[in-house]
Amino acid sequence: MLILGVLIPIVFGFVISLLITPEVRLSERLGLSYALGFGFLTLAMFFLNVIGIKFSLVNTTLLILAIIIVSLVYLKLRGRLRSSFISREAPLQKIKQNLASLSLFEKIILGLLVFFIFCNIAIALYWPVYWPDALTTYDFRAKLLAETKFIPDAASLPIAFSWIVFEYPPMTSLVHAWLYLWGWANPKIFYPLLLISLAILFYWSLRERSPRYHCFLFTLLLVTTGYIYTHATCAYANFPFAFYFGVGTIYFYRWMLTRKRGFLILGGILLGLASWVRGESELFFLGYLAILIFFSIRNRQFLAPFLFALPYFAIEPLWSAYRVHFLNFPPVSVLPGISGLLTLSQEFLNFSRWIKVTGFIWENVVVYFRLLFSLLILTTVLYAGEVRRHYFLLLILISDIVLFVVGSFVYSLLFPGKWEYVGGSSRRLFVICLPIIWYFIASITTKHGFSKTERVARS
Amino acid sequence: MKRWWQLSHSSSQLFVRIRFLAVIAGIVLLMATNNVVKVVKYDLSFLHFMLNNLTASYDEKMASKWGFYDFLKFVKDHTPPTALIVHPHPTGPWINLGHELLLQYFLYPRELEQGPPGGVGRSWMLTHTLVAWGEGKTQDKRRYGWPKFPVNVRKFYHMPSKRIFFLDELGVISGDRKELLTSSGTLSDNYMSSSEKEIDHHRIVELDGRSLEHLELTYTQNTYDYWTKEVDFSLTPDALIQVKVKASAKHSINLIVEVEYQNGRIAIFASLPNRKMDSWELLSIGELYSKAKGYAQLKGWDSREMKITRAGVNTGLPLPMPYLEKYGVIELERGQEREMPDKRVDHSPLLLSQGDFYRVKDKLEEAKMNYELAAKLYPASIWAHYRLGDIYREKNEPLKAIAHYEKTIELQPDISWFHFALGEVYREENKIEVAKGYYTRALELDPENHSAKLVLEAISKKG
Repeated sequence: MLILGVLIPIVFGFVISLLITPEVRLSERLGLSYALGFGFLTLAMFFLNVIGIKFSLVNTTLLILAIIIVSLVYLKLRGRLRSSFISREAPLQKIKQNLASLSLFEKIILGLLVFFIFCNIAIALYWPVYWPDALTTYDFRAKLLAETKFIPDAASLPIAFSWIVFEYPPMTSLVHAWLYLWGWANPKIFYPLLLISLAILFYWSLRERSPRYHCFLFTLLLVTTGYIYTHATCAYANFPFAFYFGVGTIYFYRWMLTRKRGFLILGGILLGLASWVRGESELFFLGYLAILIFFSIRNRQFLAPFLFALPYFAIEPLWSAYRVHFLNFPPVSVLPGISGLLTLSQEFLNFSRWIKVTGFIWENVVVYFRLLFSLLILTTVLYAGEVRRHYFLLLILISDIVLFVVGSFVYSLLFPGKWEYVGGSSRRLFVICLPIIWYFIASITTKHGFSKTERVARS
Repeated sequence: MKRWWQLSHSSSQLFVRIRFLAVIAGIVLLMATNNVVKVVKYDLSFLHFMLNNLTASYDEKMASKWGFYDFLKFVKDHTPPTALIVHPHPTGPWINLGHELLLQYFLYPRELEQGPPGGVGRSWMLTHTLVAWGEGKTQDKRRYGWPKFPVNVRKFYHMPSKRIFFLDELGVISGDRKELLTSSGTLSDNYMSSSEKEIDHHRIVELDGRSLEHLELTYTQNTYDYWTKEVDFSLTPDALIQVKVKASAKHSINLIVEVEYQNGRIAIFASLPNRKMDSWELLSIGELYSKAKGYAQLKGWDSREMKITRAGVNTGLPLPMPYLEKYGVIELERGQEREMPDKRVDHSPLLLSQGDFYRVKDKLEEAKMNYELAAKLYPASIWAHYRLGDIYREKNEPLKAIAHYEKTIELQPDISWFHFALGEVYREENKIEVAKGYYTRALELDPENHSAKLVLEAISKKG
């Protein structure tokens, strides 16, 4: 029974991925299925509540099954339901072949990856949720949700600081609640599986144009990056946020490279799901939208901004609107609104504040990730020629970093007495940029062609 | 056309190779090693415990991460789900234990209210009070312990605390008769008790050629716990009961004696508590005859032919303030329904609790009477005196209030709140300088006594 709690969302995500993008490999699709499955599952639970139905196991499973069946019928009618997404060769045979073709270096890297992911799963499954914010906000809310199966009922329980408990978007709490309903004592299984999904999606995103050893090496670097690895063993929302944001950005960029429409929609959906995990994605998304509009005009892809923005804006405002209209909590917005911005705009010329804020980011973010930043600068300089080929990826990265600074500046204006004390939170937010930075470095440093063993295998 | 900065093909190949070696084979692999080392360190920090405790329960795992987990589990086990619990402010040693969101996770569905300083919301609905010593490494021990203000205790459950006692020469002398009770077998605990305990050891031990009664008890609740032996003595004016005790904690044991009156009613008289730790001291009840007679007069009983029917010790004597037990939860007296006590037996803990019951019911006369009787049976009952002080203050009889508060200070000079209470009476009497002295002493004993701080500030502002 426990395994169904994980399998049902994967099947759900698999079907959704088929609807969105038919052009990916099976392993990549499985990675996507996991991420999309849990994302859409929680949206389904949420919408059941919106129409006044409790998200009990039966109700939610029935709704998901109905969506799966309708989707499969649609795919069949459109002739997109082929067995081509499953390899004709026996999967085990294929895995054996692939393993045999690995070089020693690749085997070592793959071995390390498997070892660390195994450790990550063991740690996550062994230890219950115990990190402070994970307890007090996400998991506590999940327990209330599992108990009531109805968000308004959970929010109206006589608990302290309910407006804080119900402030953040609900995705990870709904995931916990779903797993609790299926009998999982520890809902943290979600996080290491998401790490595996990240590794798979990152690997295949690079693999399109990089040799295998290169993809393995950078996947290992991403997976073992402190904040990614450690946060995949706790139940904070930062890692899922970084996952959806980072992978969404990569698919957004992959659309720029391949023009496969599914990737653009995936980018929008995954970024939308990032906003379903935490509420800080708006500013960054606006940056992406600006880049996309520039790209679309240059490449005469006028429909693209709509395809990208539509899924994002279909998901992003859901929670804040629900909080206000269904839960009667005061609105929470990371952005101060137009009037607020006008008031704050005078402060934008306050250079001493800019210096303070950049000093704060330097101390808390840049110094902490100094090795990564050094590598980023060094590779950008040494691989200047390749950077030109990934001009838009660089633009995306610059937009993220600049908007991170601007966001911190706005935050300092909104919370004058508090902002200097949230260095840790600032660092955790920056984790969303890590997959993108690694993807950028991996993309520009890639040696075109294939390794010797790979050439042999391919021949 | 080739530009001046463009390299020749062979130079370009060389640059690509050097760059590859420097960046990929060098820095990236170095970073990968750095990451791997850090991740291995992180894993090891968890795996060590995991491998040593493969089958650890949820509670054991949480307790290894949250030092106070066992305490909060204890609180959960000793409070109903409907409880409304007051807890300390999230400052100083209570930064975690006062953190409402954190407490909420562990204690849900129990509701929480932040306690003083800062006032208590829904005070009329409170059912329980957390007792928390506090965490951290503050050198000044005076800063620890919450609550340091009086609480209407109905029952106080605390984390298991062990008490070790040695008893010697428990004897009754009355008239011509003298009986040494410790020489005729051990005391029995099946008489009267309001406690939850584990008896770790109860035996006779030989020490320096003497036979001593050795008791090791672990309490989680101890309002009183009488260990007695039946005797049969006529109570004469020269009656003396005494025992030699050695206890592991101060104020943890006292001597008790049961007196039966002609009408069949019983009163249990108690000695002062032990004042020392880990050293022998003599506890005795002198002038029992006149005390018993006086009590009979108060109750309107016949004081002829009084008998001593039991003697022993109370090993469940509560510490002077709950916070001295460090961690626990108090069930508050709110006038809720109570079990009918054995009306035949009067003893101080019962009368004190009846006094508290009437007090919250606003029946001050009944409360006062019960407190006075409690103080008669156990003259060292600090709470009977303190409550009497409160009642006389409410009744605007400052002299009597002062007398009782002074008695509490005499009995327990180290409790900050008692000095504060006395200061309050003097302030109401406009004896500001005297009051200031008491407030200052209260602050010396407890630098976190915000009430004393506020009043002293107000006084100094007035000039």
